[in-house]
Amino acid sequence: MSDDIREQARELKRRWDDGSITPAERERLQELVVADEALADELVDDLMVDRLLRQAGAGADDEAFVQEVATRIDAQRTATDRSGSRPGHPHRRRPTPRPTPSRNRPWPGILAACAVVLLGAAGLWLALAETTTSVVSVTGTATIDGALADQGMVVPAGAEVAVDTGASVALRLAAGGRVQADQATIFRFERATTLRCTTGRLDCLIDHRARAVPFEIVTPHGRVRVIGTRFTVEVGASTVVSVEEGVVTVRESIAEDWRRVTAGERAVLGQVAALADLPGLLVHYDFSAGAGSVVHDRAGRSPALDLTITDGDAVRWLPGGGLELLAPTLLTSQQPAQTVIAACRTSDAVTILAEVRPAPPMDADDPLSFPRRIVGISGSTKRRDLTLGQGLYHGDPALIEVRVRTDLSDENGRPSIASTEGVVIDRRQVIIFTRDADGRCRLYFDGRPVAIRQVLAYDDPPVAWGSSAASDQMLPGSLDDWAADMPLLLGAELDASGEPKRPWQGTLYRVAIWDRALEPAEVAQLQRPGGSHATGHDVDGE
Amino acid sequence: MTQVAHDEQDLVVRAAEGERAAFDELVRCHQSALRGWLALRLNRHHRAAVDDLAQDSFLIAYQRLADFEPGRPFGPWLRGIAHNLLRAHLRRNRPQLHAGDSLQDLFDGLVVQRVEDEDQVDRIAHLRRCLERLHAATAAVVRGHYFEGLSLEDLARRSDRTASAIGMALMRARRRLAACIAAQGKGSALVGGGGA
Repeated sequence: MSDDIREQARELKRRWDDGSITPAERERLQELVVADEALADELVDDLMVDRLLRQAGAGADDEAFVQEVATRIDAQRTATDRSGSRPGHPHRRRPTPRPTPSRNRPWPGILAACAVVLLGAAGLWLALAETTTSVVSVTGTATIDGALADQGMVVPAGAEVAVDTGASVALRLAAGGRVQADQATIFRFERATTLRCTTGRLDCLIDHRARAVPFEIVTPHGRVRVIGTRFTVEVGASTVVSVEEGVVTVRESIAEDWRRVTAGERAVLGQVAALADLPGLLVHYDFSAGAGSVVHDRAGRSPALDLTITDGDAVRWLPGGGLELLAPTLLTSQQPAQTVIAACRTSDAVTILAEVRPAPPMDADDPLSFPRRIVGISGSTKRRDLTLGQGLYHGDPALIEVRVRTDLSDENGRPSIASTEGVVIDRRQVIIFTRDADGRCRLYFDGRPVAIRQVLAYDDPPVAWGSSAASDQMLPGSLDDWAADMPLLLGAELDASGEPKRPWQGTLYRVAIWDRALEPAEVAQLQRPGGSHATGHDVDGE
Repeated sequence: MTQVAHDEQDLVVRAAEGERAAFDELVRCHQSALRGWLALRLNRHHRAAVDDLAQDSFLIAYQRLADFEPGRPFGPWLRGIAHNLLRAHLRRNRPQLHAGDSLQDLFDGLVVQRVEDEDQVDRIAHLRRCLERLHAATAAVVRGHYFEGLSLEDLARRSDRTASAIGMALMRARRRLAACIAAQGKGSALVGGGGA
């Protein structure tokens, strides 16, 4: 084959690639490929490299792919456990689970709302004059990889954009179009055509044009792929996609198929049931009363285990929900927490959830004032069934310590478990502790497992660790040893004379206890409204 | 058994016993090669399915770990799963997407003939190394089109050239990459005339 013919074939292949080839040219190219093996090999090489390049450019980055597989496995395991069947499960058996009600949805979990929506401004369409993503406008506080965002600032690939409550930022995309976000939104450009949003709301206007690489938004619950349109994506406990113009396709993290969402339609990804739908819920306080001296138990069991605030002047109810403990006080059940105690003694397992905003601790210099008690079932400072507290006696005041009494521990629930990283002061966060019937314990901050260690003693040296840090630790033994005469307490506990001790200061948003260890996939769903945010200034309804 | 193969067998055994971290590591080790394997076999109409099918393959592999025969290499077994998923996907989606495109069929058939070998080459990894060896200006065009999603017109505006000139530049770049990838693979063919 002559060089001219070969060059002609390459040009025809190029036109075939970009879609500009005519039917006659297509036929000509096919003839040439069939006629000459060497030419066919060259063009097939070209095609193969093209396919590899498109995959390298458009696919998820390696670690994101691994995480997505892990998420789907967790989701499928949770769905399988819910249905009570494990066909061909290759793994060792866990203790026989309690019977669970049948469900239609594979996702148990909590609806923790708070998608902060910014509806895009007046159809600002930005022509593609630039080929970098850059800031068009910013109001209030927004950061790009920690640096304050400013008009004209370039947003490099991989940069994280965080928008504070009350702030707003508009970006012009290198991929063509615009994204606008405000009010506690966090997202990151994994590449020019893939944006990962972990919380908040994005108003997206994507250029209508042929794309070498589709524009995608990845959320914890699934993916939104742009075909060419205007739409919003709100990320909270689920992802809500609302299409105004055009069409997008979406896929749940646990699903296999993409489905189309057209103009005027709405799709919800990762929709989960309320916290109350998670089986095994024993008590649930949402601090929604807004006033009074009683904190109501919303778990729906009978009898409800309401709590009484011992000093009403020491607390402040927050309009949007929450109870701020301003001074030492105690929230106590008027009777022993018998339903909680009996259930956990039977199941040998427990989960505690505490959504809190810790205040800077008073008496932080006094090591004896820790740990401060957040949630507990205890009779005195030396006798307990269960406590989740902040700070270590003679140790770091920001670590979380959990004590669980078993037949192998002392009456004070020691040895205990403590986190290796502290909670963030003045930041709202969800703390979840789980202990299963085997004694395996895990601790999570905002759905993220944190490394924990066993604590043996406090006095010699200041903290005597019983193990190295790991994602889970064992507190073996049976909960059948739990005493049945102890009340449920929040915010402090009683000394032998009945006086509140070890008071905790901060704001309580949610407290709940289950008689089983929640699965990691369930914990991941129990995000606080608005998700985690670096500034800590989130919506309290004030 | 090589050390790498021995380590892989250890991961498989641990994963089958329920250690999630071991399975995550298996995913980490095999995902790039599997996604490249699928990408070669899926044309432009099915491009978006590569990662989906790769994820599905790992999910099924996880569910069937108990069926995996100890001592065998994990990669070919995983690709067997992917192969079945690929065929099912193509059966489901072919009629809607490009009925009657005989040129597409011709190229697809030629690609399949070329890559019918069951080697475990991670072509994506080779590609990434070869990209680093491209001349800076050429690499910028390649990255702009494939990684940043810029169209030929966008790239042409940026460089004051025509879109067709950009297209030909990309073809020349792909030719260089093909030769480089073949050299990296040392015989796993991506060079003209090379067998599979």
